[in-house]
Amino acid sequence: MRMEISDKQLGAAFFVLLLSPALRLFPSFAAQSAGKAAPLAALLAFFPAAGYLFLVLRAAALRREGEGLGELLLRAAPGRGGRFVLSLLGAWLLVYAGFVLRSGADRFIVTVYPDTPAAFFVLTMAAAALAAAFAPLRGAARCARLFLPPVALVLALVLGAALPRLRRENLLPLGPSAFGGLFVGTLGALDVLVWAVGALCLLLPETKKGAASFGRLLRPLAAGSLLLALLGLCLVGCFGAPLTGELSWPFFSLVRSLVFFRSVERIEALVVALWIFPDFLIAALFLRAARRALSLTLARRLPLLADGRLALPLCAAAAAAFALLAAPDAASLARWSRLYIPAANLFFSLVLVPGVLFAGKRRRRI
Amino acid sequence: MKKRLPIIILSLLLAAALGGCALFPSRLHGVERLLVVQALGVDRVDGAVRLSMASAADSARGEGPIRLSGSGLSISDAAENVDALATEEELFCAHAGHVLIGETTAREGIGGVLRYICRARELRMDLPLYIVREGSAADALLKTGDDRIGAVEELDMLAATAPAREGRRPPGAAQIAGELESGGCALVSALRLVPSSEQREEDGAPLTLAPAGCGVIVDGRLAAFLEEEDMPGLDFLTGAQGVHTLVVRDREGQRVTLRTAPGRTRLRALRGEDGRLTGLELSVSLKASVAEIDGAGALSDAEYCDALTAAAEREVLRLAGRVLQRQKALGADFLRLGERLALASSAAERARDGALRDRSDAPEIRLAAEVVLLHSNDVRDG
Repeated sequence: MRMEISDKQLGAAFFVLLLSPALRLFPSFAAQSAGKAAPLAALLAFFPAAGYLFLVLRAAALRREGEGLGELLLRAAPGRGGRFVLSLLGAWLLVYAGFVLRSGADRFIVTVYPDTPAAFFVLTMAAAALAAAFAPLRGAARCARLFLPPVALVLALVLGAALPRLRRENLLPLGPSAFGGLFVGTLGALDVLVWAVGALCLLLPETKKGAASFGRLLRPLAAGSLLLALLGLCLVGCFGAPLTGELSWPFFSLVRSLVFFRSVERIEALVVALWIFPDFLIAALFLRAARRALSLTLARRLPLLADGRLALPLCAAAAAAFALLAAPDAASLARWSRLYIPAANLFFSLVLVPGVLFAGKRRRRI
Repeated sequence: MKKRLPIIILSLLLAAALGGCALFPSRLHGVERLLVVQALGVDRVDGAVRLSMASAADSARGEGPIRLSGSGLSISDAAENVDALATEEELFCAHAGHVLIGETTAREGIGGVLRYICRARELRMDLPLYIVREGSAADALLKTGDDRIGAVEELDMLAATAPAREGRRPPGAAQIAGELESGGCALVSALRLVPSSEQREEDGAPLTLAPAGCGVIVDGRLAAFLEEEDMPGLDFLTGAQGVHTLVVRDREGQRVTLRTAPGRTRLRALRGEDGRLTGLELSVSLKASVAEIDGAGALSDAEYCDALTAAAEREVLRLAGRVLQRQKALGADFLRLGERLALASSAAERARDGALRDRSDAPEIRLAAEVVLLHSNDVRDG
C-alpha cells in the first residue's frame, strides 16, 4: 500500500520547519525594527500569510497526481524560460540548504562550543541530511510528527518560565515610534511564515489528495504566528527591544538566564541541540527538492543528475561547500541571514514562482 | 538488515559526536575536576583588568572557600591568566551567581562589564551586579570571611534577603543594560566590606559584606550613591514591596517602632485645563504594625492612633522626599518616572508631554502617603 503524507503530518512539518528561521531571524529583526511592537508584528503577519497560503493551495490544486512544484512550473512554462526558472529554484534550494547548515553551526558555536570550527558541524549535519534525503518524502513528514512534541514541550517550558520575568515598561506604552517600524517588523514575520508555506510545497509530490486544504493548514499557520508573537513578547519583555535587537540568538540567551523550579538552570546546550531537528528536516527536504528540480531541468545535459544516488551526494557537497565558503565568518553570515536570504526568499516566494504559475494559468497551460 | 546496518552505524557515530562524547579531542573535563566559580569581581587598575573569583566552601569535603585573582588586558584575558595559574582544577563559571565591580572601576564606566556578561556564553545575562563602595571587588571577594565561609555565602544571603529588605531583587546585567539603553540611567546594588558583628577572642572579627545602598549609573558611569537609609524611600517611590522599619514618636513623645508590610505606589499625572502636564502625584499606601513602643501606648484610643498614623505618614514622606531630592540634584530619572508616566497616560497625552528627561520645565512632584495601622503584635497597648 502506498503511504502518503497526511494533513496532520503536513501541519507538524509546517510548525517544525518554521522553528529554525523563527529563532534565527525574527526576534532580533523585529525588535530592531518594530521595537516594543514586535509581538504585534507577528500577529499582523498572520493575515497576509493566510492569504498567501490560500493562493499557494489554489495553485497546488492544479497539479496532477504525483506532481510536485517542479513539474507544475514546467507545465506552466514549458520552454527554456520554465527550465531556467526551475534551475534557479533548484540553486536557491541548495543555497538555502547550505545556509541552514552554516547557521546551525553558528548556533552551536555561539552558544555552546565557542572554539569549534564550523566545518565540523556543517559536514556532520550535511552527512545526516544526505542519509535522510535518500528516503521518501513521507519519511521527512513522519520525522516532523516525531520531532514536534519534544520541541513544542521545550518551547512551552521556556516561554512559560520567561512570562513572570516580563517587565511591563519593556512592552508598553506603544508610541508612534513603535508603530513606525511595525511595517518592517511585519515583513520580518511574514518572511518566516511565507518561507514555511513555501517549504511545505516541497512535500506536495507525496501529499495525500485533499490533505493540503486551507482549513486544515490554517491552524498550524495560526500557531506559527502565535509562536512568533510569544517569542517577541518574551524576548522584548525580558531584555527590552534595544538589547534584543543586538543579540545574535536572543532566544538562547533567554534560555541561558532561566532557572526552572529554583534548581534547574543552564540547559541551553540541550535546547540548542534540540534545534538540530528542524535544521535536519530542512536540509534533508531541500536537498531532495533541489535534486528533483535540477534533474528535471538539467538531466538531459548532465545525465549524472538523473541518477539520485549520484546527484544527491553532489547536491549535499554543493550545499556544504556553499556553507563553508559563502559565510566563513560571523559578519558575512549575519549579512546572509538578515539581508540576502530574506530578500531572496521573498523574491522566490512572492514574485518568481507565483508569477510563472499565474502566467501559466492565464495561458491555460495548467 | 544489510541495508540498514550502515545507517545505524552512521547514526550512532553522529549521535555520539553531536552529544559531546569524547570521540574527538576535547577541552572539556570531568565534573570532578571543575572549580565552580560562584562570584566574579572586576577592577580596572592602571589600564589592566584585575579579575577575582570565589567559590563557596565545600562542607561535604571539609574544604573552605577558594579565592583566585589575576590580571590581564581584558576580562577574558584575565580569566585565562587566572585559569593558567590555578593549581589543579579547571575554572567553571557557568554557575556564577554574582558579579562585583569596584567603586573606582564603576566611576570609569560599567559598560564593558555589561557587554562582557551579555556576550560571554559562560555567564547568565541576569547575573546580579554589585558595586563595592570605598573598595575594590578584589578586596570584597578575597578578604571576606575566613577559612569556613567566604564572600559567596555572604552574597547568596544578601541576594536572598534583598526582596524583603529593599523590595526588589538586585538588578541583573541584562536589566541594567536595558535601563541604560532606554532611560540613560540605572540603579545598581552596592555593598561595603565591614567587620562582622561576630565577636572572637583571638584574631578579631572577620570581614563581611554589608548592604550599602545602591549606585546611580548615569550614561554608563557611577554618578552617586543612595545610602542604605534611602532604601525605604526608594522602595516607597518605586513600588513599596519591601518590609521596612519606621521609628516615629507618638503624641507623648515616646519612640514607636513600626514594621511596614508590602503596599503600593501610584503615580498620577496632574494636568491643567488644556491637558498640559503640570505635575505628578505619587501616592504611597502602606500597612504597618507596631513592633515596639518605648513606654505605654494607647492603641485603643482613636486619637492616639490617628496621631501615630500621621507621624508615620510624615516619616514616609520625609524618606521618599529625600530620594526625590537626590533625583532632582542628579538630574537623572532613576525612579523611571518618565516611563511610569507614559504607562499611565493616553497616546495623545504622551505625544503632548514629550520625554520627561528632555523637558526644560521639570513638572512639580507632589507626594502623598497613607499608612494604615494593622495590629500591635498580640499586645493590647491601652
